[in-house]
Amino acid sequence: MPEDKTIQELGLDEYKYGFRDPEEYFFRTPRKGIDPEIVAMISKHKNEPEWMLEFRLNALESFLEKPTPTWGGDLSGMDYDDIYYYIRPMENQGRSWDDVPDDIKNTFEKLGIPQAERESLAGVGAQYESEVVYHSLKKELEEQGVIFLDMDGGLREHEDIVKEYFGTVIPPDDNKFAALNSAVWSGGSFVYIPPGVSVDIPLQAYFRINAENMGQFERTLIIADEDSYVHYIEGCTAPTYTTNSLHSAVVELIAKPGARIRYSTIQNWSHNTYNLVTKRGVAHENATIEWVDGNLGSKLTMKYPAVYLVGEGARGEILSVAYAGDGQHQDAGGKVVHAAPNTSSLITSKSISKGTGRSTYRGLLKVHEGCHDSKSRVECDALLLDENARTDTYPYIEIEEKKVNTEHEATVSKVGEDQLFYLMSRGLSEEEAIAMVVNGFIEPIAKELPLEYAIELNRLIQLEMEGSVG
Amino acid sequence: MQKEAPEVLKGSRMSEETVKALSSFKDEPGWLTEKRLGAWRAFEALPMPTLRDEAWRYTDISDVNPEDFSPYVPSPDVSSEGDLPDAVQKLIREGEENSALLVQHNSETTYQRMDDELQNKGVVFTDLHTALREHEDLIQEKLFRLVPEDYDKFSALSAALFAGGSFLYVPRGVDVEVPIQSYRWLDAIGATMPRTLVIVEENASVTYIDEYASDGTEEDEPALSNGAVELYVGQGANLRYVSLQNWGRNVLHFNTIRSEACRDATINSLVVALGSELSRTNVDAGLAEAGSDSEMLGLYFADSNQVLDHHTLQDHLAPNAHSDLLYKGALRDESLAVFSGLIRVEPGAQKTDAYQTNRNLILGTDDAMAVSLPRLEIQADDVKCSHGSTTGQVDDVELFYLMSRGIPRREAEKLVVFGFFGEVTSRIPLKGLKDKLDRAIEGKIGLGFEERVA
Repeated sequence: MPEDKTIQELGLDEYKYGFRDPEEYFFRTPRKGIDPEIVAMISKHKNEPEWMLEFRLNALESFLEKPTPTWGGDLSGMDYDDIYYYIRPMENQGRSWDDVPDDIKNTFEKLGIPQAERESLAGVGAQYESEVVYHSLKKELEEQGVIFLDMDGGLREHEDIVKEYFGTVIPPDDNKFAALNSAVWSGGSFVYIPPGVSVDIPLQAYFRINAENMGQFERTLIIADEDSYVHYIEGCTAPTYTTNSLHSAVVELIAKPGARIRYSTIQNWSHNTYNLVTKRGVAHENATIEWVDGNLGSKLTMKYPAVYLVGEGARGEILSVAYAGDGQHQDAGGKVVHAAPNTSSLITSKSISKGTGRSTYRGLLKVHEGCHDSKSRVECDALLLDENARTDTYPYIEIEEKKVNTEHEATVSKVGEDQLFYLMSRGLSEEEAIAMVVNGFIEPIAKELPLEYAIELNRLIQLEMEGSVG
Repeated sequence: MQKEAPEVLKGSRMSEETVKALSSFKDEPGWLTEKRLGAWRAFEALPMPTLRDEAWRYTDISDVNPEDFSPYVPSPDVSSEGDLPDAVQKLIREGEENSALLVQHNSETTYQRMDDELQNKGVVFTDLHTALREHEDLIQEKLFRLVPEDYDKFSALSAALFAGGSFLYVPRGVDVEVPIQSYRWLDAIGATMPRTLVIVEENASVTYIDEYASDGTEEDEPALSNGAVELYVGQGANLRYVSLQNWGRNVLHFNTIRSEACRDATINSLVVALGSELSRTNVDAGLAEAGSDSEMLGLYFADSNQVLDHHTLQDHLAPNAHSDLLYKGALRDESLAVFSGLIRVEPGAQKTDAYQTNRNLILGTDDAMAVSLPRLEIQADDVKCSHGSTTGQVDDVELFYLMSRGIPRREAEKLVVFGFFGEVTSRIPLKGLKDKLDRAIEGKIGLGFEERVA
C-alpha cells in the first residue's frame, strides 16, 4: 500500500480506521482559502435567505480580526489558506438506506453504522463530506413532532425557529474558530423536541472527513422544549491523510424549563487533524444539560464543552475522557457558569497520556454573585503511561458568591505496580493487564455511553494499547 | 551615621539618573552599577502587565505607575532600640523572640543587633550594602540569580533600585535555634525596595522572618513596596522562612520569593498577607536536587476593597523530592483574593510527591470574589501529585453545633474562622508569630463583621 509509506515517513501513528474512498465531488469551492466571495458562493449554492448570508459575512469579519489563540495547543502549523471551505459530496440527501451510494455505504459499514441501523436506532443523520447524505427518522418520532434534520434542511423547512435560536448560544464573535464556523458552516444537525416529548432512543449522526485538505464545519442546534428529553450522539472517525486537516464545529444546545439534553461524542479524528470545537448549552429553570465527551484522535483537540446555568434549579454535568498517544495533544475540559441560584454542576475529567502524548484539562467554574446555594464539583484524574508523556491541569475557579460550595480535586498517577502484579499473577500478559487497568480508569465515563459506544471506546483504547509494553 | 543622599534620589520619579545616583551614593562596585543599569533598561523595555496577561488576569494594576514613586526615602538616625518609632518597638515587643534583629526604616537600615553567640559561630546578618563591602564575592555569585531582572517587570525594578535589604549567612553545620527577624517600616510617601538574600550552608538550620508594616490609611497618598527574596538552602540544610505583610492601606506591595533547595534540604515557607491596598506575591520553591522538601503555607484575609494575589510554583526539577502546599484565605466586603498555584514536574523528576490545597472562606458578603487556579504540569510518569480547591462560607452545621452549646452566634462564627485558619497556624512552631496572627485575624473579623453576617 503506497499510503502506508507516507504515514511512516511522517512518523504518524498508524490510524486503525484509516480506510478511504475515492474522492468524487459534487460541488466544491473553486479555490482554497477564505474571503467574502467564497462565503457568498457557499451561501448562494445553498439558496440561503439573505439574513444568513449577512450572518456569515459578519462572522467572517470577526474571524479575520481575531488573532489565533496563543494558549492551549500549538496552532502554528495551521494554514487557513490551504483549506477548501466547502465541499458537497457526490450524492444528494438520501431518504432511506437503499438510496445511499455503495461507496459511502462501504465506509459506513466499516464504521459499524449498518449494525446500528439493524438495531433499529432511530434517526441516522450521517455527515459525509460537508453534507448530510443519509437521514432517516423513525415514523414514530415524526408523529411526536420531533424535528431531526441536517442543519441546511432545518434552515429551509423551519427558518423561523432557526432564525430565533441560531448563534444565540455561541455568537459568531465568541472566538476565532466559532467565527470561522459561522462564516462557512455546512451540515450538522438541527433538532427540535416539542414540549413534554421524551425521545427514548438516542439520535445519532456520524461524521467523516474524506477529502484531503478539507475542513469540516458542521453546525448543530438542539432545542429541547419544556419538560422534554433527548439524547444526541455524535461520533467521528476519519481516514489518515498526509497534510493537516481542520475540523471546527459549533454545537448549540438550548434546554427550556424542565428539559434534559444529553449530548455524547466520541471523537476519533485521524492524527493529523486539528479539532477545534465550540460546544455550549444553556439550561433554563430546572433543566439539565449533560455533555459526555470522549477525545481519542486528532493531532490537537481544543474543546471545552460548556453549560450556562441561567435558570433556578438548573444542572450541568460534563464527563470528559481524553487519550493522547504519541505526538497528540488533547486540550480538553469543561466550563460551567452558574448564573442562577440553586444550580448544581459536576465536571469529571479522565485523561490518559502515552508515548509523547500530552493531555490537558482546562476548565472554568464560575459562580456569579447572587447564585446562592449553588454546588459544584470538579474532579480530574490523569494517568501517565510513559515517562515522556505529559499531563497538565488548569482549572479556573471564580467565585463571587458566599453561599456556595465548590470543590476541585485532581490527581495524577501511573498504572500501579501492585495492580499489574495482581492481574499478571492471574495469568494476564502485561499488555492485557495495562489495558484492563486503563479500561477500569475510564469506566465511570464508559458506563454513561450507550452500549455500542462503550464497546467501541474500550476497543479503541485496546487498539491504542497494543504494543505499549516494550 | 548616614550621609546625606543626593537630591535626585529624593525626587518624585525614578529614572536612569536615579539608578546611577543610588549606586554611587552607596559606593558600589562597577559590576553592580552595570547590573542595576541593565535591570533598569529591562524594566523600561518590559510592558506593564495587563489583564490580558495570563499571570495578571484578575489583578488590575492599570493605574499603577511604579516609576512615579520617589525611589529613595531617607530615615532618621537611630543609636539604640529605644530611639526606634514607638510602633516599631511595639512590633518587636509583640513579635517572635529573636537572636538577631534588623530594622529597615523607609529606604535605610537604621538598627541592627545580633547575639554574641551567633557572631562567634560565624553567622552574618546585616543590610545588603554593608554585606557587599564585606562579602562581595559571595554576593556577586548569588544576588539576582534566583530573582533575575527578567523574571518580571517588578523584579527588574527591584534589581535596579533596591535599597536597604538584608543578608543572612549561616555557615556549615550551624544550628540557629532562636529566629532571626527583619522589620521593614514605612512612614513616608515613596517607594521601599528591600531585598532579602539568605544563604544557609550544608547541614545548617535557621528560622528567618521578614515583617512588613506601616500605619498609613486609605486616605494617605499611595506608597510602593517592591521586594525580592532569594533563599539558598544547601545540602541537608533547613530553612524556615516567614513573610508577614501587614502594610497600611495606602501601600501597593509587590514581592517575589524564590528558593532553591539542594540535596535533602528543607525549605518551609509561610507567606501571610493581611495589609496593603493591593498585594501581589510570587512564591516559587525550586526543588533542585534529590530528596529536597518544601512545605509552603499561606494565610490571607482580605477586607474592604483589598486585592490579595498569590502565585505559587512547586518546581520539581529532581527526583524523589516532596512538596506540600496549603494556602487558606478568608474574604469579606468587596475584596478580591486570587490564588494561582502550579505544580511543575520536569522530565526525569521521578518519584515526585507533590500536593497543593487552596481553601477560601467567604464571610458575610456577596461582593467579595475568590479566584482559585490550582494547576498541574506533569512531565514524568512515576509521580504522586494532587491538588484540591474549595470555596464556601461558614458552615451552618458547625455554627449550629456551637450555638447549641450556648455560644452566641458572633462568637461561634469567630471560632469557626479561627478553626479554619488553625489548619495553617498549627503547623508553625513559632508561638509569638502565632499569637500575632490570631490577633490580626480577630481584628479583621471584628471590623463591623457582626452587622454584615447574614
